Amino acid sequence: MTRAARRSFLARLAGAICALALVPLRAFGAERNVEAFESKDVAKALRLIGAAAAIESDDVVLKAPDIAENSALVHIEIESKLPGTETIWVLADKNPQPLIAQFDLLPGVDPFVAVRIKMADSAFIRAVVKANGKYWYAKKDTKVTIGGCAG
Amino acid sequence: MPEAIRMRITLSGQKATVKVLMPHPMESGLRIDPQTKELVPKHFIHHVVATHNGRTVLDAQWSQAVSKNPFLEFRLQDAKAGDKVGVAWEDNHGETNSFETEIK
Amino acid sequence: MSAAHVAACVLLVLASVAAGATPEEDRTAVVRTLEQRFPGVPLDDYVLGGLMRNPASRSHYEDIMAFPPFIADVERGKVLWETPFRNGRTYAECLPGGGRMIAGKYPLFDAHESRVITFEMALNRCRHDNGEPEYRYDDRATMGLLTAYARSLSDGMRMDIRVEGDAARAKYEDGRRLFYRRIGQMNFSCANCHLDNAGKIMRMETISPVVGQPAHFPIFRGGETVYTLHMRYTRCMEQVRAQPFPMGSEAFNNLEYFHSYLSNGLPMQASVYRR
Repeated sequence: MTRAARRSFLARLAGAICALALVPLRAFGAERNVEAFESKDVAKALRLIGAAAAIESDDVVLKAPDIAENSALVHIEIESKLPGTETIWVLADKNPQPLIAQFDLLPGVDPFVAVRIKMADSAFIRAVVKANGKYWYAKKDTKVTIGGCAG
Repeated sequence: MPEAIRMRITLSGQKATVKVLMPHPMESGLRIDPQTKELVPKHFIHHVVATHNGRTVLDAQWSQAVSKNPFLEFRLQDAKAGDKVGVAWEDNHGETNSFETEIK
Repeated sequence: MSAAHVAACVLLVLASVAAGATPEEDRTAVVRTLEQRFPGVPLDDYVLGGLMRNPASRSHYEDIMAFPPFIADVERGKVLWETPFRNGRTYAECLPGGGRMIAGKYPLFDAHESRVITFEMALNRCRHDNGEPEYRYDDRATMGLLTAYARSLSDGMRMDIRVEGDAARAKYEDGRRLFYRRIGQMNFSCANCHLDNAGKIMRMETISPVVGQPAHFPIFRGGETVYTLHMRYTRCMEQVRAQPFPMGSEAFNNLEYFHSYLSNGLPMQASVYRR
């Protein structure tokens, strides 16, 4: 999306919400990192979001299942205990396009998100956090299975 | 007209846990239509914004690998009954949807 | 083996089938078998099926159920339930208790019609009595979603299936025979998998125990596709490469009667997520 198109979308969203609530929606948000989202390689995606040198940290808490019994519906939760957490990214290493989501957090919200993702294969799920300008991450090895008799 | 966004909010002290369900096919572009045997084109929510009393608190970019009928949970600080919580999305076809409700 | 030995065996087999345990003895024996295999698992947890002994899978299931992706489908079922028929009447007026806390009584034996009536048949009867065409039992968009909502009105009710009198008993026994009968190219019975091998891993999945199954239908497989119990029976029969009975057929109704009796006392929860 171009910057102008993006502003126009946010203006429309603001309009939609204003119509309901008569309050202004302050437009905000980083430009979509198209190149990172389209990257087919996890190392490249990490480089493009600026996290090539991210350090593994226990202060990034990633909850994801050991076994994803339905690879199309994997519930994950990410919580950052790092002060100054600005952004959370979610990646699955073996997805055709590993970068799945970017969450920009603004004042007034906890450094936490939960979301459900699709996984192409057994792989590391990665949660990358930008806090006070530095990059940290947690990863979880999640196995994907097939089947059909647990009714 | 896309199907309505659903939201469930639980208030505990000053913290509001907001759970959102956004009905949407989230087509990855890799699925083959069983009838036509052709690839179903990518169709996915790529941008989501959450607001608290009109102020943006979360701005998310998504890929086609977020699950069908996306779920999102976030936690608002300094929340109280009567506050307004809103969510709006746009997909790669330019369709948009939004929803706002009050914390009870 | 001598002829006398064979005869004795035949007699023993006949005795165990025909002389017949009561339904309550059947149920108790099945529950005891499973409880011995899964010590310490509360019976109520059996409604979780294969998840019941896997805390991680159960936790993930609960995360999904906190806001299931199929919520809009269940709400479509609610609209079907609430929309009055052309004569202005509603499902709630047809069913005892306005349709609330009753699904655990189904299937029931209707002595007047001398057949087993499933909950879905009761919904269709209501349509019929009000001049509406009946829904097909294999139609997800109508019967599937209607029952996904209608059964949820009985969430928390404990299963309470009655088999009273010889005529009811005959239907129960018919269902019981189908449950234990080996069928299809794979030569499996329902019991082979869901009683004898319940809890074991097959195709990377834990086989659910027979007790608890009917208490949690319909399910949304993959979080998106509704399966009534009869749709699931059909899938099971396909998986053992048997020719499935039609959904809504007497064979499936009687099977459901027996099958449901085994879950008596368990808490119901309709419209749950299954992978």
